[in-house]
Amino acid sequence: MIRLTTLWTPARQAVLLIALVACQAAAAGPEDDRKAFVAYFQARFPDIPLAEYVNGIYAIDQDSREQWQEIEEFPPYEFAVEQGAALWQAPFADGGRYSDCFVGAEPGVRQNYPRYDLATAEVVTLDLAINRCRKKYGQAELTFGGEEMLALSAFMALESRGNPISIENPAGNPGALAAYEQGKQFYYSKRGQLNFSCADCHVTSAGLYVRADRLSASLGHPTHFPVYRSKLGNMLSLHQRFAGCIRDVRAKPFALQSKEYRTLEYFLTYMSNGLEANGPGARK
Amino acid sequence: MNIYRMICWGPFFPAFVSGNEVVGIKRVGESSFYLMTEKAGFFSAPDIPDRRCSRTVLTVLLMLLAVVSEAKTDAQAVDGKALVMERARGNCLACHAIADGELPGNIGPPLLAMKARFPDEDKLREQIWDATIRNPDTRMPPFGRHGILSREEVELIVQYLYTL
Ligand code: HEC
Ligand code: HEC
Repeated sequence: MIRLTTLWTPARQAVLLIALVACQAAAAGPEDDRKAFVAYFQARFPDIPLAEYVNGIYAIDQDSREQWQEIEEFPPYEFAVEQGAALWQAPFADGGRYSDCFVGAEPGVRQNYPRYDLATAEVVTLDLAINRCRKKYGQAELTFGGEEMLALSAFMALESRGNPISIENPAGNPGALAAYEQGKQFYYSKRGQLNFSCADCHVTSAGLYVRADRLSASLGHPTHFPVYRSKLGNMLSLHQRFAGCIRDVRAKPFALQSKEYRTLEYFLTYMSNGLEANGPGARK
Repeated sequence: MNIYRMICWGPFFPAFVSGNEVVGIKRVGESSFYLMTEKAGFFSAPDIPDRRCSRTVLTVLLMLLAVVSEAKTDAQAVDGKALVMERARGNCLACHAIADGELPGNIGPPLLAMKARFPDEDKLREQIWDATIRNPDTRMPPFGRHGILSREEVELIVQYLYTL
């Protein structure tokens, strides 16, 4: 079987890529980056509506889409969501509860994370915010990537469905901008024995096949996590997915919630600003 | 290994280590043997104590030798192809369509008519050794430079690609 990509010729690809890089180099503001990022994918997949990107590979791959929709009828992440709801509601032993930490539209706050925290001068993801809340009320911190953290974030993701991702423009603060730039740098850097950047697979090769795997677009990546992976039979956080991709290029993964992953998430989520939060997701 | 077997194996050892192919055996008298190898010529087996090293042992040994050398040539013939196809090795199929390869990727162009497209063998070798020489931003891994494949393995692949 030979799949030829007639639609996506190297010449067209080169022109768009140059446009993307040129835009980012010239203007260099996060909002210009985002517009160029979106424009790249829209030019590349003119038939895919912007709102569809939140569905990852199923936005692109019609063959597996139906199967996925069937799975979504009996969502495999339901168990985690229920567990998360119970955890959310239970007050802490010494008083206080999660809703005291996420005031406002809680528990549906997924769309506001990650955010740059001026007080501690660092990127705070939802997972980190959950642990900060626990710490504030004298609770032991949860393990990142552990069952309870995944359950809580799955519940909060479900409660946030339909809310547009609303990351504040990092350009407003030098520290935030530096964190954003660090994430962007990470995203475009080649790494590992196989010498791939994230963009090599999820920008330049989006829609193409690595063996039998079809590559999704980065646009929309952070909107639907955590996901239930049927291959693994459990929930997976965004950072665990980062680690998986980094292992695949034969590089050493970073710790979950490391500065590297948090700034990467910050950059990626800003690229998806305005798209709807639709987690948790279900993936192969 | 006991002394008895060491004495029997001794004379054949050079044939093993030099990687020579055994092309024949010659029997002299009741229980003396010559071993003919391709490059190193004859090995005689006069020092094998006649009575202890029975003919059966030698036959088994020579059969083993034959199997080993045959397996080696076979392996060389298919090695280039295996390197190209197997996930844990070259895994070129991940990105390139190749004849006989199932479920190929399509990040790179199909690998066909290689001799026509790469008349210069060195260019092909270089493309596999370090694709970033031709295109610094390539998505093709620098197989040689990053130690994914050895020089010998790249060589086997080059030879195999020329059959496509
Ligand atoms: C060698 C190719 C390759 C590289 C490099 C790569 N990925 Fe992936 N990635 C994949 C494949 C294959 C999948 C699974 C199919 C899909 O959803 O795209 C995937 C899936 C993902 C997903 C999950 C998408 C979803 O909807 O569930 C995220 C998020 C992701 N990658 C982020 C990254 C980031 C960030 C990097 C860089 C640090 C990266 N990837 C590098 C191949 C790659
Ligand atoms: C992850 C993707 C990937 C893998 C794995 C890969 N290649 Fe490539 N290859 C490419 C791309 C992309 C090109 C197109 C040229 C470029 O972008 O530099 C290419 C080009 C080539 C070319 C030049 C073809 C031409 O007509 O110009 C040859 C030859 C080649 N690859 C051989 C191999 C061999 C042999 C292997 C395995 C040992 C391999 N490739 C593995 C992505 C890959």
